[in-house]
Amino acid sequence: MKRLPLLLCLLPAWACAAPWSFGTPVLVAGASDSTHFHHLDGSGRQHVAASASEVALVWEDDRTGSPQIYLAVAPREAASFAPDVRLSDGEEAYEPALAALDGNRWLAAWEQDGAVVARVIDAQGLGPIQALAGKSSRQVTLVSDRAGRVAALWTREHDGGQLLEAAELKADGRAVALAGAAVTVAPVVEHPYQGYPAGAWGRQGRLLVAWEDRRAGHTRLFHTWRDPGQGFAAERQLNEHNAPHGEVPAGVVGLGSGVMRVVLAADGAGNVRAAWLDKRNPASGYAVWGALSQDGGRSFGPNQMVQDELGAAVPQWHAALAGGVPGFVAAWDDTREGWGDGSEPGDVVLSWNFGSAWSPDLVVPGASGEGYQGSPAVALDPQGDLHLLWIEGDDLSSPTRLRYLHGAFDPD
Amino acid sequence: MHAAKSHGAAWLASLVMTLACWSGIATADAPDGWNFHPFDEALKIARQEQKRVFLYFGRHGCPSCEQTNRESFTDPRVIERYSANYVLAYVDSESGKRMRLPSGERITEMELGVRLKVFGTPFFYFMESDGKPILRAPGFQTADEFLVFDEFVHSGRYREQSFAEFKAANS
Repeated sequence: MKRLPLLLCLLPAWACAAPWSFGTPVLVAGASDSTHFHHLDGSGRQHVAASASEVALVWEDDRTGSPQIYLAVAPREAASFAPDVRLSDGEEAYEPALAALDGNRWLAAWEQDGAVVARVIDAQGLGPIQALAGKSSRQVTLVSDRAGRVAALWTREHDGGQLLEAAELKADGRAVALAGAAVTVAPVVEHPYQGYPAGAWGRQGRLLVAWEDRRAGHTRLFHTWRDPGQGFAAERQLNEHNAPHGEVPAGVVGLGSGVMRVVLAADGAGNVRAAWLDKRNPASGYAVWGALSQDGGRSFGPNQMVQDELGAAVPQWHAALAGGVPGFVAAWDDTREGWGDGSEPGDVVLSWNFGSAWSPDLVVPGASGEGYQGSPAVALDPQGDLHLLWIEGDDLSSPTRLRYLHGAFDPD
Repeated sequence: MHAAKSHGAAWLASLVMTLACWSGIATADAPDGWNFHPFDEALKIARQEQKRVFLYFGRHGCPSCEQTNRESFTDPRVIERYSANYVLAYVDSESGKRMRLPSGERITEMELGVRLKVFGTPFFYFMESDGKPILRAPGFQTADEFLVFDEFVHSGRYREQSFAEFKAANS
């Protein structure tokens, strides 16, 4: 069953013609005899950032015996990355996020010893670590755009649950600070559970946010937005609760089909897309679903399945999304090529949408085959090139390595 | 011994009453009254007590989990056997709560579901004390089915035959 690429290529020729010319996968971290574990599990999956001339990667691994955050930078299209640098300095650190700043500077944020922190990195070194939120904060993600705007979103424990906060940031040189007070994004209800935020910048400084909410006894996805100087608009539900494929059992009221880990991206031209894992078809586990906003993030259209029907027979995991010059690209991992023969652990799969429809899925060359390739993160640079990072291992439980793949934008 | 039995019977009766009164929209988290542990804690206890692990993957808002909690996990026979024979673990398959695996790796509850191929909920695993899977059962299961699983696992018959063979021989 690892031979399904043959079947894929029986589809129309354009189905196999990716708009990127892929290079050779680059080993970023972890040797073949690695004894530690890497993770790409930050809220919003912002583990890759790219400028016009460089690409940077951020992740967590436990090489020192405790989970810590590391960064690696390379010139665009380079064959290797410079040695990674450790960003965190606490006892434990988790779930990093990364954003590109001007001047080939990078901003990383993560959870360290129970609080959200950030620091700027440039070619000269590391800026100081700055606390963004107090104790019991986590699930931080960063939102940046080419205009230099940057914001952070995170969750903070509150009243037996957790709520979502946002703050715009200013990064002068290698110093980062809150540009204003952090504010709550959504109504503060009794025992809230607002989790795993994702963000994007719309046009003219509009900050867009999406997240998970459990207040109704099941998980729903919401989104909101705010224009500069304004408060956040009233939240709106993003996922369709009882969608066409969803079957709510008779006698069961109010329980949802299962959604999680929403991601957001903007293309810079006014379009915003969301993607998430959605189990509305329970027979095959989570699938990647999404929605498009064409009014700058005020509202989203109907939910659409992102993956193709060939992937609908197996579960999808770890959905990531990027937007840019050509449009949007989604990445995830699934086991379609090993389904049924036990050889499955997982491959990285892409789909792109440069207009109104998602492409047939592409099992990524170099990020597929024997062993496990999964948990991808993806970015598009200003030229439309694709930057893909993922975790690989001999199987799902073995020590891991990090691999990176560059795809040169080739629309022809 | 009698005192212990009497105490156990009272506890069971209380639990059944509690669960029987449970109505309305449940969130389908771990059922009240069962002594579920986080997965990594359960593995530690299992090693110490040389017991097998019964792992319940649920999901916040999962209808079939709620049905399982209401219809199967209120059965006194199931409560008694599972409480006696296993260390019980509950995992929320959409949760970011962290745990440490026997390998030393720190992962989230959601990621454990990825590793164990939990494509839906509820999803039940029986494991050795070192975490090695013995039997897995996806979806809603009746109380009687849970009792058959227990017979197969707790008796050690899984070392000699497949579950399908066991079921065929005992049907």
